[in-house]
Amino acid sequence: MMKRLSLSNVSWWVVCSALAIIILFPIIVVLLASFKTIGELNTYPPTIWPNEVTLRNYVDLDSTSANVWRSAWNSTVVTLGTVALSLVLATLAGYGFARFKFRGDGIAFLVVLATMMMPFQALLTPLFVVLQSMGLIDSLVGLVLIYTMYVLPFTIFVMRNSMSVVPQALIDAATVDGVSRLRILGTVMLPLCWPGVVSATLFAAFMAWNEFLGALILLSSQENFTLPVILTTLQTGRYGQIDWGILNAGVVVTMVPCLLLYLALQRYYVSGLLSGSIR
Amino acid sequence: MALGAPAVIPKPHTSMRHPRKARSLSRQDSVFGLLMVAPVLVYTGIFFGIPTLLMVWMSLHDWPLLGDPTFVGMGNFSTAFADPVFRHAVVFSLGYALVQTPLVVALALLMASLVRRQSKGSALFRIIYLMPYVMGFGSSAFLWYWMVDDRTGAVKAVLLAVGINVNQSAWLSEFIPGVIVVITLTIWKTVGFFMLLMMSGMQSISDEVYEAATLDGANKVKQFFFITLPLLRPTLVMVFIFAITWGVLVFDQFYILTSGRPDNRTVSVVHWIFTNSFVRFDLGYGAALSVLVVLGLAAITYVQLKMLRNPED
Repeated sequence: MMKRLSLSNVSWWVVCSALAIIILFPIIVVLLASFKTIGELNTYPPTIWPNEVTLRNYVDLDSTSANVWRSAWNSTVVTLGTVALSLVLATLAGYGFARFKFRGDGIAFLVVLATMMMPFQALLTPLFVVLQSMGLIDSLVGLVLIYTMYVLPFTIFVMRNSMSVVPQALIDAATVDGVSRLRILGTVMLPLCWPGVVSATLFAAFMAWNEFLGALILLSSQENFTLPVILTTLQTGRYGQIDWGILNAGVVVTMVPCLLLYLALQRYYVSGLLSGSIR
Repeated sequence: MALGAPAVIPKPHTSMRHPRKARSLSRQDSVFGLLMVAPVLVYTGIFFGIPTLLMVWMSLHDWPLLGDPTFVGMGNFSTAFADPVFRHAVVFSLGYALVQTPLVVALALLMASLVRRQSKGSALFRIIYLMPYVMGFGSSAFLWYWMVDDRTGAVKAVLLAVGINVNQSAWLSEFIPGVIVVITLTIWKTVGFFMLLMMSGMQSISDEVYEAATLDGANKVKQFFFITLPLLRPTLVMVFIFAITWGVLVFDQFYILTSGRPDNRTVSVVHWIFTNSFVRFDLGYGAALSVLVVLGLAAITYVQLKMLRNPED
């Protein structure tokens, strides 16, 4: 019995590790490739491990016609803007839905959630016209506005859920002490609901950092491009020749912040994903 | 909009409501609650309600980027039904979703069964398997664009290292190889998410059911087919709806990797909307195609809910 158990244990480790290697393979090879010299990247047969390590690909990210560091800054601005706007809106609404009864509250909540069922891709054509009328085409502000709409239903859902489980006794105690409803939100609710805040933040941040189609449509001048869009200009390359070093370094700059954020906070990310999609 | 199409809309629960106190206080409460929710309702009206209505309105017009729209009635829709690229894009997107979904679901199911037990090892593998999911489809597609390159990519390096020298040069410009690359990339990127959903569904099945089955002499395989799968049904329904919806709406991967090659055969429905609205600036036609996609997806989701619903319900 003991032997069979350990044998199946070994095969479990083998299968799981094999899957892990396959899944990690693209991430590892692009990291390695981003430190290779341009000569090595163009030699045949291709290598996996760099023969010579260089930072040239990262240093040169802003020296080509497409400035990747500038795009990293744009992506940061859009991500912070989306997180801030959606969190403010979702915190207020989550508080309202979780803790107060008003006429039509159930329907209002359903309407907010039902927006999740509309494919974002289908809404981009009319959204373009709406933003055009506001003068927000080719603007990072316009991008923040539509990304916020995209993440709102999920963030509201997460915030409402975490605020619903705060014990009523704590709120009653604060009310008796004469604390106003809005101050209760800041002093009682938010300190207790920070796991929900982290989940909502991660969700909004990953979406805004990585979104491709909307940014491709709304941004037209290169100095406004976000990271996923600037990569398209690197893919085309100058003189039809792709600079694989720059492209791979660009991919790494786009993916590494997401991976680090996820690895640091994965517990909250996972619980947020599960609470948002199951139930 | 956040997740495409969630299967289950939660019921607003009433248990946590304020106990009703004095009437005046309760009225103040309800005004305050409405005030808290009002910004979101206004925001949703502007950036969801108006665009949704505008989409329908635009679809009835010839709507150029600049200049005045002209009313054309159902003209855009009759154009759409006769448009060979659109018709092909519909078949292609549906076909892609139908091939992609069972593959990713089966693999996710296998992975979920592997890592569902509580242990340090499982937790580690779960973290690893979900890693590609947090990367964008955009950056992932560019990563794979390099990885499958015939002269410089890592796939070539590995194949050569194990002594296989296949001609990859046409992978992204030929139909079947291009689609296979995109399917592999998409599975790689999304399988962790589906694994997570199924694992969480599996963990809610009580151990006692399995213990009873073991006592009755059912082996692991039997337990999987006669306990796990049936009890996992609600999760599976949700996973299928997610996967099919994402499949039908595919854009980033094909746009970046195959950009329609060969001969527009890998143009997906969203790619065709993009082309008409934002390359040709025929926004009315793009809106009409969008309306068709919304209606089509709603129908597909409805059929799935009907088909996959527990017959005992």
